[in-house]
Amino acid sequence: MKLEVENGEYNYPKGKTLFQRVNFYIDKGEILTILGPNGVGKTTLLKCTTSLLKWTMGNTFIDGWSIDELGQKTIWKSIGYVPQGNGSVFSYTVLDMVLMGRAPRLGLFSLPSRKDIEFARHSLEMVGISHLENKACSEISGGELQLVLIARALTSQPQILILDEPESHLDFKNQLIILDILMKVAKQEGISCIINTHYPDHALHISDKTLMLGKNKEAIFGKSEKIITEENLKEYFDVDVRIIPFDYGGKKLKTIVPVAI
Amino acid sequence: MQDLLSKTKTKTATKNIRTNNKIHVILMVLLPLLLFFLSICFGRYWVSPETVLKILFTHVLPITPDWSALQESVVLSIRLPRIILVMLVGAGLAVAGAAFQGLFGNPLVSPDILGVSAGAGFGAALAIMASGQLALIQLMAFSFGIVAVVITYSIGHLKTGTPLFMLVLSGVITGAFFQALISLLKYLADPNDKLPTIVYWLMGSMAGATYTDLIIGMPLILGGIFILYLLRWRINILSLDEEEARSLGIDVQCLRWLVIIAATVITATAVSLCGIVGWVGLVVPHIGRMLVGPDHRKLLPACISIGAFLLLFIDNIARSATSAEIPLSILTAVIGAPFFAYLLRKTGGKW
Repeated sequence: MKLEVENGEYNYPKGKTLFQRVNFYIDKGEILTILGPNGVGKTTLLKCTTSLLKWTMGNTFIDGWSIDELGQKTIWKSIGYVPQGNGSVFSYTVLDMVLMGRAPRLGLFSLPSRKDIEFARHSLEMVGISHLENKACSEISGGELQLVLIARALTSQPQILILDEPESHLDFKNQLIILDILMKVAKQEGISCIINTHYPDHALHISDKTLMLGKNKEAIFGKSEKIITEENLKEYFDVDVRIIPFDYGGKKLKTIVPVAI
Repeated sequence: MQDLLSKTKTKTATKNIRTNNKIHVILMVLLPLLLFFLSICFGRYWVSPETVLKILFTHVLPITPDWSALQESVVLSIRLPRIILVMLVGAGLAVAGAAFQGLFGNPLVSPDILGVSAGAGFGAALAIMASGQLALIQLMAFSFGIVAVVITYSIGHLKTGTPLFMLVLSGVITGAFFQALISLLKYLADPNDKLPTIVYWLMGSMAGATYTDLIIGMPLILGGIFILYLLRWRINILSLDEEEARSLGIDVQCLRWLVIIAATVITATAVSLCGIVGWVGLVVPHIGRMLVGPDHRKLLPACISIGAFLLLFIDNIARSATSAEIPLSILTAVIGAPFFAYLLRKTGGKW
């Protein structure tokens, strides 16, 4: 499945433009990261892309279909959305929370069946938290909650996964866990992933493509290695950085170090 | 080996949970039925269980009457309709409360949060002032209950993205407005005749419940319960953030209105039939969550059972503790408030 955004523009209700002329696309099994400093509208961009917010101009196309022409149910069968982790007031169990992901595939008055529960268990297994099944969502850590939300999105069997800063607020290990899961989901299951992140390192590490947003600047889009360069980071984040290549177990990796403002 | 051990352990654990669940289900069906039967016997005029059974089945089975006309009248005309109405109202208010707490994602919400009770109370007070005819009181109470919610809706005008607390605040406004109107009517009412009637009515009472009440009230309350019962899994999703719920393919607006309409019809009907009965809609969902957890698939059926049981228990006290009836709202609050305090302390605010 291919998702494409053409000429995306979003204005606040009072008329101020948040971003404009945003263009990007993603093919099956690819990972796209959206990079940009605080306040450039990354979350808003994701919401517009999924139809949670309305574009002021431009549009999202899924396999060539404009997203307005598709019904909400159809959209949410193909797109799994992972919001920034805020739990619920009620402490549902992990399994119940993940089971909610089946909603786009069930009728208004129907309850999830045994089969739906199997789907939920399968996604718990995919993200490696089967052992948490009966825990309450209020009793688990922030990293585990993020995994629960990813599992919930996977439970609707989407073809595209859209994640809003899935690895912020997490420690090193949990960040790596999330990144590994995204790679697995994209490369093994062929589910395309779009993620927002504050970490250019992560973008370099996992993503095929990158969209970089800046304040009052034209958004740029392309292959991650071409977009994430010292010059671009200086221009878009207003920070001097060094990109340092190194070898780790025969793999060539890169790290990004901010050196001066 | 370790692995195997832990596996068997979880297996027995889930087994325990399952048998526990089964016992819960059986108790939740049996206890209200048992209390229903005992309540017919029980009261200031005791009727033996045997006689009650005979009277209940007299029209179905060929039984020669060996009981007095008084006994039959107490059982069939006074207690039976009252007890059925109490159970309906208890179940209805509890389910409406649970659904609203889920909808607003707030466990401190009760079914009259949108002003329905205040509106209905005003309608009833107006009708008592105007004529005092029972049918008119019920009709006016029901209509003004609905009117209040419509007003709340027009103030809070719920669109995509409007925060839900707008609706709660509008409910507070509407409620305060109608409360003021009720006070005005009380102030104007004849203190020897109309005023006591209004005050007594506002405190809620099941006395004088008739089969006519049941014929009017049963379809409305049962209908509301049925709709909420069908939506019980969706209410789980509705309790999440609005955008989160939408991203799960839910038509949030449509679902919210279905829940609000169903809960409002239940509450308006309850208030129009037996006055304002506080606390049940707030406390029962909490007891339910303690017993079966927050999942509305289990919580709503649990609320039906607990609500019916609890209100019936309280009404039994109301009608038999003293020679005069004790108004229901006094008892629900006197019993409900300390009990709720105990629950809060025990759970520490985790729902």
